[in-house]
Amino acid sequence: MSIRISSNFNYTQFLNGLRANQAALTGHQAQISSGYRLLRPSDDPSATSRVIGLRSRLSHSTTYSRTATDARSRVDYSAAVLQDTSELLTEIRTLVVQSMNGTLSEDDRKSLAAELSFLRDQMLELGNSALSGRFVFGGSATGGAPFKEFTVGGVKHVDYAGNLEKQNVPVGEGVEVPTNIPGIDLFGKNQATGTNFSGLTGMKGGLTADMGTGIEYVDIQHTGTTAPGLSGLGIALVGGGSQDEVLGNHSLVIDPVAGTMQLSGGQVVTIPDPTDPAATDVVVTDPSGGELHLDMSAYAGTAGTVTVTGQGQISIDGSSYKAIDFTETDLELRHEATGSVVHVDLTSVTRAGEELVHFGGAVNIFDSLQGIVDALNNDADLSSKEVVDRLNLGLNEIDRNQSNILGGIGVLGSRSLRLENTIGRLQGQELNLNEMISELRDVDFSEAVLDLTKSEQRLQLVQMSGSRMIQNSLMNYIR
Amino acid sequence: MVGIGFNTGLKALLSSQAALNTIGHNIANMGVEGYSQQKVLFNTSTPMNVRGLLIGSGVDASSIQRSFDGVLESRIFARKAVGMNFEARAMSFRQIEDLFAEPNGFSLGKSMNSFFASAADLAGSPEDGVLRTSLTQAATDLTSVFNQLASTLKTFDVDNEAQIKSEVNRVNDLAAQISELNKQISETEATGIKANDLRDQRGVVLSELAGVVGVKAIENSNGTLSVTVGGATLVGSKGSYKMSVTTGTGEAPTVRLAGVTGKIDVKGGALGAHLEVSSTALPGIGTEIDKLAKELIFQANQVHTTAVPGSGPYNLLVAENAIADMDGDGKFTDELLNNGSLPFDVKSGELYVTVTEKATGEITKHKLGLNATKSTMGDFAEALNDIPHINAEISSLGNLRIVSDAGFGYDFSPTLDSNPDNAGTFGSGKASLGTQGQEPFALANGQTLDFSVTLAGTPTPVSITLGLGDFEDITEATAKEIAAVINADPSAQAAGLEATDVGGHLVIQTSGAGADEAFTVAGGSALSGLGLSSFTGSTITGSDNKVSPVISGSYDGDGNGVYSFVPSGDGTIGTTPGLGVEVYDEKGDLVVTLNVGEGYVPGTDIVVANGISVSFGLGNLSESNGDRFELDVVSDPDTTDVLVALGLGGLFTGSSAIDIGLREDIELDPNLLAAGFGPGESDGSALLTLFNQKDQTHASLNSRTFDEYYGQFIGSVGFEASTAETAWMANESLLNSLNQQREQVSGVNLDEEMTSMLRYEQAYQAAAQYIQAVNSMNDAVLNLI
Repeated sequence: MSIRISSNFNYTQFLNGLRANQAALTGHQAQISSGYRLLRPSDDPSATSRVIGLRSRLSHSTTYSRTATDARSRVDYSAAVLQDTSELLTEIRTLVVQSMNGTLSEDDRKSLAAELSFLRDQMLELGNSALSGRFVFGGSATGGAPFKEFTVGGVKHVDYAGNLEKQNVPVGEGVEVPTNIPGIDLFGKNQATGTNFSGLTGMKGGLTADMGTGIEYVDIQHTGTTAPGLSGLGIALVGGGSQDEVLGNHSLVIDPVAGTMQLSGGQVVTIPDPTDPAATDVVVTDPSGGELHLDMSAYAGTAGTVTVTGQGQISIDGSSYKAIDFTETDLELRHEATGSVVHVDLTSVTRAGEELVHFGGAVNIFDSLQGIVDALNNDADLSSKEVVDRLNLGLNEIDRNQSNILGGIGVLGSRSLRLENTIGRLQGQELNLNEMISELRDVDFSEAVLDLTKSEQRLQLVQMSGSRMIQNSLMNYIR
Repeated sequence: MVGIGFNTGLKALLSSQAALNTIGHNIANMGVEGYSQQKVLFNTSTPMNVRGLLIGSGVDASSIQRSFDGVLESRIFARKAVGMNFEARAMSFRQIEDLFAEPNGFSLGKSMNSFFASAADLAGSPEDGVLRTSLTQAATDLTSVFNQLASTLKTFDVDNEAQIKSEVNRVNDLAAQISELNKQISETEATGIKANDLRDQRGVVLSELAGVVGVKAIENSNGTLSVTVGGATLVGSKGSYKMSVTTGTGEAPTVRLAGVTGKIDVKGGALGAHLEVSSTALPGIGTEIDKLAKELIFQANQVHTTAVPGSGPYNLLVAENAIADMDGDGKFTDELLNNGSLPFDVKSGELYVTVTEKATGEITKHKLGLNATKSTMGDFAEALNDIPHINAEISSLGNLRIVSDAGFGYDFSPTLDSNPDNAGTFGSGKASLGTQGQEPFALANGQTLDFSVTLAGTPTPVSITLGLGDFEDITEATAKEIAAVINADPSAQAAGLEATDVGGHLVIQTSGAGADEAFTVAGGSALSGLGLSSFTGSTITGSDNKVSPVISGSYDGDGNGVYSFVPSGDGTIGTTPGLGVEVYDEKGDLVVTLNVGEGYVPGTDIVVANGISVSFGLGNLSESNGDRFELDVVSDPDTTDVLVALGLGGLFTGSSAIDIGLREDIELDPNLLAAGFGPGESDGSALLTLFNQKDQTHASLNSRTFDEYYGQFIGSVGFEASTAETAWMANESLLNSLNQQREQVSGVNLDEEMTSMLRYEQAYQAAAQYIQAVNSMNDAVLNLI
């Protein structure tokens, strides 16, 4: 006895076969037309979870490589600006060295000053470089120019308006690369080394420390000269000493035998004939160039050594003056507008004049360049030596700044290299991740087409066998 | 003899006819669902004794029987209940997984990725207006995907409920049919006839019922069927019982049966699946999305509330989340912050408020403490009000409102106070005397402090008496209490003498600074309690120089704390050999000693620790006169999460998937988005922290990252769908083979019927021939007559 097969069962079986194979065919077709093997999570839940995880990592990778690329363009731009800055500094240095040549005329120096002033403005422009509206040297304050120019008491200063913040950009999980160097670390103060004086007046640093961030000018004025010994020799002070520059005690040696005079070992001056019109204003200078004006028209011709004492007053801001006590070793000078405080030793001050105070290592490049320009313009009519002294102070600062800039280029260069490597690594990672996602999610076309063909054939087989099966009936034979 | 012949012939004729009729019935019903092939049963008639011969009297068609296997039928209908259950489940989950549009559509996962990616992009260039807008856009997209998911889930729930209702109707309909068929069958079978077709019909209805609800059926002796659902009778001997659905807002629908109290536990059939989707699966999925949304809101807001908006410190903030008046007394001030009405918990900890004076950019930091179990809304508002230039009030709806005075702004950022010596107690140029010891000070009622302040060259006496009422406990007086007494004293006010509390040390100083400022410690009984006896008779003088410490950098240490800066030695910055500044942390441990004496150039930065640098201006420090200042170092300005709980300055509003939204004013003005913890338009530190949240694991997400959690959740939805589908398919094939078995027993085979038809057709013809033969025999006999 064989198994009883009902006619209904035949039909149902046939129908089921058709349905199943048609569904399989549609499924393969949908995969091929979308290109995805995973059309819904239930197609392969664990693969879907993994795809979501991988996709998130991919999003990370692309974010990182985008931010790294962006960061790199910024780093490279900053490095390029610094490269320009460094070249400009080299040019400036050459000009400064050139201008220190003692044989230059005043006009030559003035024209060099004009050129340097132009280069200083160019330098300021470099410091205020902006990449698509964003000032790169302002720390995180990138909305406005980081270096702002202002004038205090006729002196041009530049102040840093940015901050010290680093702008970090994520380039990997927990890895952040700063894209900026705050401008003050490059153009501004760095390692303060102490206060320097240009040495014109002979003032020295006091006992107490100083504080300041630029250059200041200490003005020492001559207020009067006393020399009681002169009158006995028939010599008078011109204008009561109003044109003199000498300060403190000096000794004037008059040697009628040689016909010369000398002030504190300074330049030897020939005594003119009393009848000479020039004898009414004979200028004797001390070694620092401080002048003493003498009326020799009544000179009796006796030899003598006379003590000449100059009185003076001192000020850092050009407005409030203090009388000079030549025994003061720690006089505090305070510039309320700039906040600078300087302590000076006045015991060896010999002459009046404007002393350049340089806060070594604390001057920004713009201020020290301005100092050089001002020195070359020489409005105060300084001696050549004093000008060169001032240029020397500026030159030290230029060298220090140059090394800061070069250091900055090095740092940015290594960051750029690191970013480049990171970008390369990230791109490789992206490729890998894409491949992994594709492997999980995408259709393997050759396989899919093969599957499609197979299910197509199966469907055809089912159709064929079914239709043949249904045709078989006893009725075909009963007439 | 002839009679028998006719009779036999007739019976044969009738039997064949019955058989042929049944074959016709079989063929006709071949396609009817649940039909069982019927067969006529024949019995040989009782033979007759005719003259000693036992002559057969032909055949009787005794009954018509179904080819039916009861056991198999019950297995099929049980399978069917399971199958329909799986099918309904698979269909539901298929629709649910479609809502998430994973892995290829515009999904929650993708919008989360693009939100975080936009944050990272903006972190690189926070000043970029376009990137700002694209972040707010990405945030809006993300919130709308959350909202949409939540609302579609809700719609889905409503649809599912409608489906449940229609299924219950179907159950009632089918139960009524069974009950009616029961009646007919028992009536029919009472007469001894098998009600084959009615039974087949009832089988079909029962199987459909099983598919809808999953039932148990027992046949009673009278042929009726008792049907139970979840142990309760649906169809009994007296008829069917009505099934009904109970729904309530926020509650999953439940099923009840007339005559039974309480809900019926329906597990099988499509109804069982839909009930389970309503009661477990949908709420579960909703909870998961809500968890994700809530954690995202929490993390993003934790960062955003403590950052500084692009537009600068706040002038006005109104809490998004109102506190509820839980005790119903019409007051909000007495409500605990943790009274359960805020979407996030408030923890014990501290909140740092930074007040900025806009004109100068000068900031002051204030620390507020909150206790998770004790602090009320009123306490919090009061503490805020105690901060100068800050005013807090609670609106009539329970929203906290914080306003700053004109010219001031506030934020909750970890920014360091760059000029921390606000009080001027650290070489500020004021004549200043501080205690070496820290509070509490053991003082007594009526003790005095006498000073003589030099005002324009003239000594002006200041005499202060300490009263019991000024202290909580005068034997354990705090610096703050003593300072309050001194500052309130008219003679001190007239002489310009002030007192400050610097980290528990009392500092007494002149209000002005400069070398002319001076005061003499004249005496007083309280001096010894303060440890200042040795100063009796000494004159403290001010100075023209100011140390004005300046802090730079940002704190990258762990936890919040306070650094105390105390000079070691007396002297002038940058000048006095060996002059140092010791830095202590809040535990009193020495962090570092800074050399500020000879060799230090005033104004240059010295590294302290943890990313902080300090520079000191030119000025005089005195250890013996008790100079000191304190610096709050903050890594998390809000360890209480009160800002997040109240929704003060958050990025997102709401607390779940349905109500998450980007703060409206940020959407309108992306400039209000807070990108950094510090100043500067390009500070993207806050966004960076936000971006890093993506990689961090969160406790509320089972210590997984957002992506891991989401991926697993999607995987589990997919897994549910695929399991249901696989189970459904497996069941289907099982059902198929059971059906095949059933068909073997009960199915109609046309060829078989055809064969039987030929057989009974021939039998009928033969019987007719036989009758003719008997008839002719009869005729022969009649002709004899």
